[in-house]
Amino acid sequence: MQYLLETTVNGVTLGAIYALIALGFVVVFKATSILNFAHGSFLVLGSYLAVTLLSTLGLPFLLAIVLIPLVMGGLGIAIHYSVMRWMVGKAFFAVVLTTVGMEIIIHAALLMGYGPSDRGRLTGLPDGRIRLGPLEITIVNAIIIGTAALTVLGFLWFFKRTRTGLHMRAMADNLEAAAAQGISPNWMYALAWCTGLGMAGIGGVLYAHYTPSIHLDLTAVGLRAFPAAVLGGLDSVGGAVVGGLVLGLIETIGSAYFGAEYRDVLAFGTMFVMLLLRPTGFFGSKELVRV
Amino acid sequence: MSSMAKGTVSARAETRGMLGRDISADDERRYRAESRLLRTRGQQVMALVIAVAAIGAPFAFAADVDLPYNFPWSSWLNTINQALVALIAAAAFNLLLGYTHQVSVAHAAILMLGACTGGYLGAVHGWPFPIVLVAAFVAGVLLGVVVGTPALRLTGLYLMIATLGLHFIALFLYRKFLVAQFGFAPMVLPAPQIPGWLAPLFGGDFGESMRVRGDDVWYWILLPLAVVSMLVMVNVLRSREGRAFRAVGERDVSAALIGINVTLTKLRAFALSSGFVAFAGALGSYYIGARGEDSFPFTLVLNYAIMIIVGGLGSMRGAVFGVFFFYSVRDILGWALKSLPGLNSVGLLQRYPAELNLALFGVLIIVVLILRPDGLDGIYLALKRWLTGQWQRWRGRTS
Repeated sequence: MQYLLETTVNGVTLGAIYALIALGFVVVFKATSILNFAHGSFLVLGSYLAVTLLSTLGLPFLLAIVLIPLVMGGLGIAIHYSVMRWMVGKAFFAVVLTTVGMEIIIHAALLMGYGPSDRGRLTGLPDGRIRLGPLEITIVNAIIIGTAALTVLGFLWFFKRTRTGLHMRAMADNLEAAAAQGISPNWMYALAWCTGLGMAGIGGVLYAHYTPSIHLDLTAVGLRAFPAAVLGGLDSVGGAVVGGLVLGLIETIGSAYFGAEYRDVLAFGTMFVMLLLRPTGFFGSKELVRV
Repeated sequence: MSSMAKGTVSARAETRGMLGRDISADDERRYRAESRLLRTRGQQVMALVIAVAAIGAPFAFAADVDLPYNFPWSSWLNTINQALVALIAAAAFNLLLGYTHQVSVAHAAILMLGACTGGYLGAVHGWPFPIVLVAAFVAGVLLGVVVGTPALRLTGLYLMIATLGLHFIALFLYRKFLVAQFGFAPMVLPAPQIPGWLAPLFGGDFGESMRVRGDDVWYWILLPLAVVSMLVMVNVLRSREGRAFRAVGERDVSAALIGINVTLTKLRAFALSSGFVAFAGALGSYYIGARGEDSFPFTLVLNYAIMIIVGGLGSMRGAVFGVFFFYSVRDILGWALKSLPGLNSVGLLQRYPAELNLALFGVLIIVVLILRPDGLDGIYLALKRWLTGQWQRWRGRTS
């Protein structure tokens, strides 16, 4: 029982990170209809930036968790204006392949910048545990869950309550009507990339404190955005959060019982089944998904 | 010249038939003439030149040639062999992605299936090489049907996500298979045996069976297999089915309106493509000789994407260009970094030649997709058009 409880807490921690990643992915998808295949490498980029800032430069965690999303957000805007704006309106597969190109570039750049060897987990956060009734949780996990929750809430506030958020939703709803109201589609797309990458950046920093070792194969973790988003429904912001949490739980509890080698299969197998049974996920809109 | 034109011509012929006029023998003849594989004198000459070059290549590379700065010469045959194997898989990928516009990233998964078929039948049970290859093809088609039947009902984006899941499931099963059959050693495949009566063709003595070793012998196995595979695919694409692939790729709703069964067509393309990819997976495993658990990373899918995008999506000629371009750039870049004065003193370049190569291709993909979506094939066609124009102007001036 105690074991199950601990595993659940672990699952929620992982799920919180997944929720962040999936949220970033869904924001880009909802705004621009682009399936961002490079999302996994953006997460790894965030993790490696965290290695540089926290471990090499020795900056405090609070500074890094603000700085890295800012850098990544800037990168997102740059990516939109330099590459993705030329792909607006192109065929779906061409756009996906462009993001594949970005993924390759980032992968290569990280290899050249950091070398192929693994980095250990970041251990800058305080050790120790907090007791909450019957529940015992490490401070690191608590910080991860807290940061992720704050980010999600912050985003939801921005998306639902601010004027810019309203503009973004209007764009996603009806591009032409929104543009006719004087909302600049290009700037909204850039903003979506900015938030998407920013969240991948935060996810990367948090994951760097969770994973046993940081290496380039973590792109597979970033690609968890796909199963998480599919579970929740590809175009549902709230669904991404729920999907991420559910996925984290399935994966952690499943691999605790079957063994760690089942991790990838559990995550992507769940996604596969969900796609076959209910492609719109828990909360996705019923757009035309079947032919 | 392009098969697009072929499509319209034949569509016209069929429409006439539908409008009540019988298709005359004349129409029939014209249709046949216009959909022939090699229609013009130029194409026939080109095919001849390529055939001569292909047959002459191993002899040329066997010659002792010394190039400045140690430019590789004899190792090119190895590069070409790798490219020939990759060509089959890349062309099959192009059939699915470039023609039918179905984004599947299960490519590495199907290569794994081919390798497993090869390992299980060829290495564990000792079946002969040709039968193993056929079995791999059949296994690929079956997997394509089994996976494709549910997955292809989904539109493009969901298909890509589903096949992404498939990749990780396949990777897991592949590792289980390796451990179960070969323990923790890599999967080693026996060199194929050539029967005695065929041996003289491959440089052996008549009546003595021989094992295939060395790139010069492999070349004569890989070349015919690659050529036959390409011919099969090109012929499918010329046929009614191939035009249906293209129609579904361009706009599935219109395709359904003119009476094409969209799901069935997608399934056919997927199964055919999987068959050839599994075939290439088995063939490549035999050629390389051993496969380990890290032989099929996800990067492999990206490599194939690079090949067909840079070569030109939706063109079999483009696949050929792309594959040879990919492998030659890799080798030439490796050589340049190692041997060219100036470059070989830059530390960063020396340490990461493979990554530099990767980054180069990543940039190339984006540039191609934005600026020149038809890739190398488009450049080739433009160049050809320009040259023909010049030639005709020159002829007009002289006559």
